[in-house]
Amino acid sequence: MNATLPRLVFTYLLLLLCTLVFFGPILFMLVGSLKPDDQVLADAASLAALWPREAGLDNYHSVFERVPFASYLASSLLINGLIVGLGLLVNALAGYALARLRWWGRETMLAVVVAILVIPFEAIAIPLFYQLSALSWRDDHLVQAIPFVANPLAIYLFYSFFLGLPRALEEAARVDGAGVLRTFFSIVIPNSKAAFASVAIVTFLFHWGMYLWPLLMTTSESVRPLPLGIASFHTLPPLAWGDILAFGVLMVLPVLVVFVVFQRWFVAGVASTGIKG
Amino acid sequence: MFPQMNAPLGKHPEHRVAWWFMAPALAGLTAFILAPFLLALGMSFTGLRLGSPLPAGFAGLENYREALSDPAFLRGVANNALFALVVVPVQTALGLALALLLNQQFQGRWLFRTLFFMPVVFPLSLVAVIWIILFAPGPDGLLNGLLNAVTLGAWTPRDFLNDPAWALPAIMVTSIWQGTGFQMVVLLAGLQAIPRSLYEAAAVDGAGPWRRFWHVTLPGLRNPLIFVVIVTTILSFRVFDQVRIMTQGGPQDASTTVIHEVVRAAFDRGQVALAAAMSVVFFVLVLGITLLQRRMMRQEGGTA
Amino acid sequence: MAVVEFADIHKAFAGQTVIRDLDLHVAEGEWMVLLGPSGCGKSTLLRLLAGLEAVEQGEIRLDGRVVNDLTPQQRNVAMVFQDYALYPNMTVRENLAFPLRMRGMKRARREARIQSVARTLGLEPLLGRRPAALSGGQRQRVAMGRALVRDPAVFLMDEPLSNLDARLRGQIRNEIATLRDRLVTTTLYVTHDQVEAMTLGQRVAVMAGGILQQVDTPMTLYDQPANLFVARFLGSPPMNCFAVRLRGESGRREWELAGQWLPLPIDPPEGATHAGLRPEAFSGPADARHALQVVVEGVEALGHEVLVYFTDEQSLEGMPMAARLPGQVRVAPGDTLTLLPDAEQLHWFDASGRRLATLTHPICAFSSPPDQGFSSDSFWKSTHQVHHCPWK
Repeated sequence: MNATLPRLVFTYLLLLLCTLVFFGPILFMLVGSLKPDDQVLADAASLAALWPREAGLDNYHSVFERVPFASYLASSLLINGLIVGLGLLVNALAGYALARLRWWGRETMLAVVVAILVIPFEAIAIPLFYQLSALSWRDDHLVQAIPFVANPLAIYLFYSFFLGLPRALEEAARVDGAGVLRTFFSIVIPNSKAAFASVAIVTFLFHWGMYLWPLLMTTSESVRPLPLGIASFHTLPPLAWGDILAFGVLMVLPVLVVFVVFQRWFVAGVASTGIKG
Repeated sequence: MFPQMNAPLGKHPEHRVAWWFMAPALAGLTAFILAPFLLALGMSFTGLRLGSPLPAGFAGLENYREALSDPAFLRGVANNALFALVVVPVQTALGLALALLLNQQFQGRWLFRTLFFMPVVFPLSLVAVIWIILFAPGPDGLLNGLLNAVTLGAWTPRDFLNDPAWALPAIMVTSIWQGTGFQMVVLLAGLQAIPRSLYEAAAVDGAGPWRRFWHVTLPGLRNPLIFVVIVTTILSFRVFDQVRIMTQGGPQDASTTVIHEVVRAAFDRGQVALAAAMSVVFFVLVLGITLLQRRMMRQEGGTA
Repeated sequence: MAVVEFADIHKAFAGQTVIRDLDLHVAEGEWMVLLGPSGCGKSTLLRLLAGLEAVEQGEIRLDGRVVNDLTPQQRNVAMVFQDYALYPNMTVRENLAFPLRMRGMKRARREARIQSVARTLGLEPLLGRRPAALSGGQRQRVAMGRALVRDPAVFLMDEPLSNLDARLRGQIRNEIATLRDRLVTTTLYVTHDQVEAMTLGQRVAVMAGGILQQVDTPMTLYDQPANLFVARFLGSPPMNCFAVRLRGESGRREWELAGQWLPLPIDPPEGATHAGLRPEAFSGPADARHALQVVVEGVEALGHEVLVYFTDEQSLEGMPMAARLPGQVRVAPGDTLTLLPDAEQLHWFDASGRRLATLTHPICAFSSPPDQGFSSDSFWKSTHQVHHCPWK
């Protein structure tokens, strides 16, 4: 706890090593995205991997020329906006009903939510594909968003967060004359920012990289999200590593912004849900 | 069951309100998770094939028999198990180590926490692409070059992703790199929730750093550790994106996983019913493991 | 303002009974303090009235109307919570406005009410702040304000002072007493602190183990505790209670205290098995003929008084006996001290702990029986027992 000098030096050496491991590949991506395609691999084994010679934004130009990047981005933003925005409302309401309201069927419903939690999406992707194809609902933005709005993990996170909220606040609101709905919107939501932020980030992160479902459900480039874009690069000759990395940087940038801005809330939210287990 | 829930209020209005609160989520869960799951269960007993004009008749347990005798599927199950057995402990240990490292007093904690966590926010498809380059074959590959430098030239460069012995470990490394930050953040929050006075009391009682870790830190981290282990285990069984992009399950199924086989059966070969049967087997596996894990954790907690 | 009635209330959590067969009547405009140790069911009673817990058995009536199935917002009660429950996301002004907004009050009227309450409680400079920026005492005041700003049928206060330090608690207690006299509203005030109960309650309902023990004015509770529990719960140090040992005939009767026989000038009531004597019923050091010689075991010199502790084998639960002596008395542990107990101030109890009345009780003659006919009847339901002065 009291840091002596050798100990501090040791700590920083460890930190540096970990930084190399965890941030190195990211730095490699950043640097690589600025290099000519042939240099990305050629430099990889030397220190030049992390040092851009002849840096330029050519790859970024090329990304915008070769694939409809703006369209991918717009699709991704729209889809994720829908998932996160609607999801927060729908799942918070459900989590609140499970945590706080007293109703017939509450315990059964909680058990159902927990059981659904372990059904991986990949296991139901095919029947869901059939189900929606039967309704000829495919190849648009909504079909990539609506199925993911109700989310058992988000419900469970909200549920455990609301359990930990001091009950007296809601009781005070009820005594002050607020109904259930009013209490929820005026008292519970404003005091649960950490939960909302962390659920928002978790769902955003999770769906931002969604790959299998859009692959199944879309054929038009105009509704396809970013992860399909990077895949199409990968399969589209010539294999231009510089372009791919530039695409990757552009793809991850929105997520990084979201993460850095909301980091404090996110950590608080993870703490309050994870600690209770 | 929940005595603390013995909550409020004149029953009649609240019942109705509760159902309204639950309704949108319930509709979504039913339509997009429960219904397809039941559909998968139904499909697994038919002979349904994609694009086949033949009507899909009842096939009994045929698909299950086929799945359980399919070497690629069994290899996938084994790979998933191996993956979980390696990744869960390693990733948790690494996450704990990073959390302990960051829980000390020094300048720039915020920065390092952000750097270590950053891989978590990367989409798996992008992570896979980055690591394809890092794993590039030949002496020019970054990892090959690095290992060569560290071993002073004793390392023989290899093609990690096309080497049956190295393909799965390569995917494990990729996954650990991406996931450790999550563990770290949860455990760090857990560390910071342990009251300082407990450490002081232990120190006053004569416990050294190791004993303090063993008797104060670990018990204090019990719930976050359980949370992290359960989540990571479930995720280990869902590995797909990395496999699809990095190795396509190869070489010779060396790095295939259950979900990868499901997708391959359904989309590469059009055997939808077989894929559904695999999904059901997979669900039973994951459910079993989750229940087993919960029970074990609970028992340990009871005796600890 | 309303009349509050609890009729035959029974409440259990997970099979654990917390309130048993409780009847209580609170008059219009009355300040009723619910007093008892933690876990005695007093807070639950309050929450039942607020509508925060479901009534499973019995009836709660506000002005004669059964409110069992009404939601809290339909009951028009205001409540001060133990940890205040100020809305952290709202400023003090917004906190005060919330209950008014919920009742659809127009902005201008709302503002006037808030101003008036803020002036009364000295909250004006704090109106723009958030709860996080307030001290403990300020938060307490805002919590009071949020209840006062309304015009409720009943005020409920759940240990409103328990989170304050001793000095602030005393100060705010005085302010609440002033407030009580200024605005006459039916109030139920829950506390475990007997000083609050004595100073704030017009009547006090003492509860233990989910059972109502006695309901009466503070002074009557002190002077005529209905049973051993009340006798020992009120007063600090508590009443010295012990098993009675008597000898001799009427007129020359003697009683035993700390192993010594003392003359008993009165006739104890029939069936008395226990007796109690308040610490202030001792005087000393005495040089009287029938004085009690005790070996001092503990001394608490408080300045204005000295509390002296000694042992009596017969003492209930082995509690040390306490005597309250004037502040100038100088004693140390181990000293032998002569004390003069006033046997006329003895309280008598039967084998089940109930109070027995004595004809010659000096204080009883001055106390007036309560003017409403409820008292502690519920506790005595099973066996008829006179526990006030017999001429009542």
